[in-house]
Amino acid sequence: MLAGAVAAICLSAAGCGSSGSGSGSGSGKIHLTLVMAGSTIDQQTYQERADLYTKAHPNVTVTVKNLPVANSNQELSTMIAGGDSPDIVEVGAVDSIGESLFAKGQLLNLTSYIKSAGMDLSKTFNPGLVSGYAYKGQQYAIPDRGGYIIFYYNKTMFQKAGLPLPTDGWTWSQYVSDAQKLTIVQGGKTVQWGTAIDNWEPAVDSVTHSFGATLVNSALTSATLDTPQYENALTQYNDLVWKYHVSPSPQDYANYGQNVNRDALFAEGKTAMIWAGPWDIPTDAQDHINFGIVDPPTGIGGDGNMMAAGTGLAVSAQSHYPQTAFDVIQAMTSPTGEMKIVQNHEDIPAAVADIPAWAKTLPAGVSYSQLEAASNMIFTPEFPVQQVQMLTVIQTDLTNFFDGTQAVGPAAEKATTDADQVLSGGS
Amino acid sequence: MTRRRLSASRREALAFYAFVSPWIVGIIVFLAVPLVVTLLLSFTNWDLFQSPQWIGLRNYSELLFGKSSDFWLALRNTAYYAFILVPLNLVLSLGIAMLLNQPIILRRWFRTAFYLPSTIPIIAVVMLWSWLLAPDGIINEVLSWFGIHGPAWLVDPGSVKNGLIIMGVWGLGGGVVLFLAGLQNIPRFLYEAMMIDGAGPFRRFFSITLPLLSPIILFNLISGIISATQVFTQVYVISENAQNPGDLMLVPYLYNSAFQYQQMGFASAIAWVFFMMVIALTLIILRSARRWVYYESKAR
Repeated sequence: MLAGAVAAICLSAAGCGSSGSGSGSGSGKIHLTLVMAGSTIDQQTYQERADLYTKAHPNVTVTVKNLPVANSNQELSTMIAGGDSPDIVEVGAVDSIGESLFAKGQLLNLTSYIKSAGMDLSKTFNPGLVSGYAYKGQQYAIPDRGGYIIFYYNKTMFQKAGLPLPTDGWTWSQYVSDAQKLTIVQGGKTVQWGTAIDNWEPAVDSVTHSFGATLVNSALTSATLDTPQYENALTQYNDLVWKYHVSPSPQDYANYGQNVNRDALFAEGKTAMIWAGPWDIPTDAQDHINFGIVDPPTGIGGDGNMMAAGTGLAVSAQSHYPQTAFDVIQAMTSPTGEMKIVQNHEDIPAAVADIPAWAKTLPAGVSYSQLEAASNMIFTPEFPVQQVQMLTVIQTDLTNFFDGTQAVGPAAEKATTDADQVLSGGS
Repeated sequence: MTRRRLSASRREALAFYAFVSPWIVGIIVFLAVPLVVTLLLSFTNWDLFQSPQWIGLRNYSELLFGKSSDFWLALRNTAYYAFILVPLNLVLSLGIAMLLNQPIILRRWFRTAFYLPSTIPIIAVVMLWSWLLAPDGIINEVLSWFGIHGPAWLVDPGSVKNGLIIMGVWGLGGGVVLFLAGLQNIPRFLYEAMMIDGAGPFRRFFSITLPLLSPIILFNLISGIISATQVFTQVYVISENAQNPGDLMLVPYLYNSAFQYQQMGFASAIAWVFFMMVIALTLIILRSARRWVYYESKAR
């Protein structure tokens, strides 16, 4: 009897919770909550964008809540499961539970809302960004911030080495050659790295995609790490560390200190080239790095080498005011709404119309022209619902490979087997 | 009409329950109910959002026999860590306590110095040791003086557990304090009597010190095992969400299953298997304690 009572408690707790989200009163006032994860600038910018809507609709208020970035997935899940779901959710294009939440019915299907509003997402946003927030053809979020993986290079180092600056469409072999010439070793110690890579998933995916490889098959039922294309891409990438010695190894990173990664090395002038998101631009400008941005080097036979790493805005299925929440999102992701992203130097806006204004905010000496020419190289891989778990399992299984202690074949094979287990519903 | 008065014993009993009720309520709400709920959840596929479906023993089967289950890897890593760290800590803390029990100058300063590291927040400890144990860090620098090429302690999957053990030894101050208290409670006349009989220091240690400290050893052993098997923060911080296979431990594995992958049912199964293992280990230790733990009160 006790077990039955407890089971009843358990089942009722598993439901959508008591109150849902959004609050209003009899006087027609609507209060919405928007949840995001980022810096104070991010939170401030979201609030300012939401205020653009609420100024025109005084009966609506929107509060922006900032979750800790490291645990945002867990905190969001707990909020939803606990009945404290926000109305509007910021979802990421990478390593996000957006698709998982949508597949489990926790995010609204916005396809009909978009159609009713007469929105044409493919005209407003880069198509490579739009597909990142669709699952099985249904749109669950609207692109919000349009960051994607780009390539940074230190102009001063290139000029000192007498090398031409990278341009759109430069090849992998050119990249490796430049990295070798830019690596400086003094007294047996590398004082300047030609490049700095690690197992950061968006960078790895950008590289492998440019070599014509994919992480999963088109049906999202099976991992494809053990294909010749993927293994070749991984090998080319990891050779930068263990064959050419132009990039720090995991041990070298550890020597620099806890949590020092490629971004920090570039900002400190210790490496000439890195993959990173546009969020590094303000930091590198602040650190007086003379840098440029370009699309990453292209592998052989690939298409798309800049993985989308931005965010989208979705409506919670538990919101009491889904239409109002959608209207707020529509306003925030309009070219006017996204201009705040540019004005606050927060990120790249997803709205194509705002890109020229964003390009003008780049630091002196940093040109958008190379990226503009390569805008068709932005892509979003389609991830399965079990994205987070699958990526974690793959990263774990490839650890020894990236450490240089295991060959690519066995590592890729194990990663494929374990990823397939996740995709098939096993753990 | 007269009011029936409660008897004195009944009043005393009611007072007892009134005073102990907060503790009882806390035990029920924060321990008993979660225990029962997690047990039930372990037989479901609850993912936080949808209603849990009963799946019987599938979670346990997947955990123990699944092809890609990391349970056995996590168990091996946890066992390696716990069964090296705990005995090491016991021996070292007893040795340090015995040294600190000697009449040396600045004894109080030394006692404070040995205890302080155990009070430092764990995150700060991890940051400090990440620097010390870096491939070119101080530890490897000292080892190189002796011709030893130290590994990348917290990076190489093969050495990261050893790095965590070194980190764990640093916090043995709590055990030192307990042993010190025990040493100071040993009556001096026992040592004097043995000295009169001609017993040397080793004999006095094994015949007096160890037996009289055995209850504290037992306590430190059990609490050490429980604490070591539940290691989480160090692993999570060092290997970025426990992605290094060399230091995947049971609790980070449980945490990832629950909160990264929203597999609450599966995580509950991990929790229960882990719980039963720790209970079994504790019972084995307690059973064995009959042979080697000496209680002075029982002897009288």
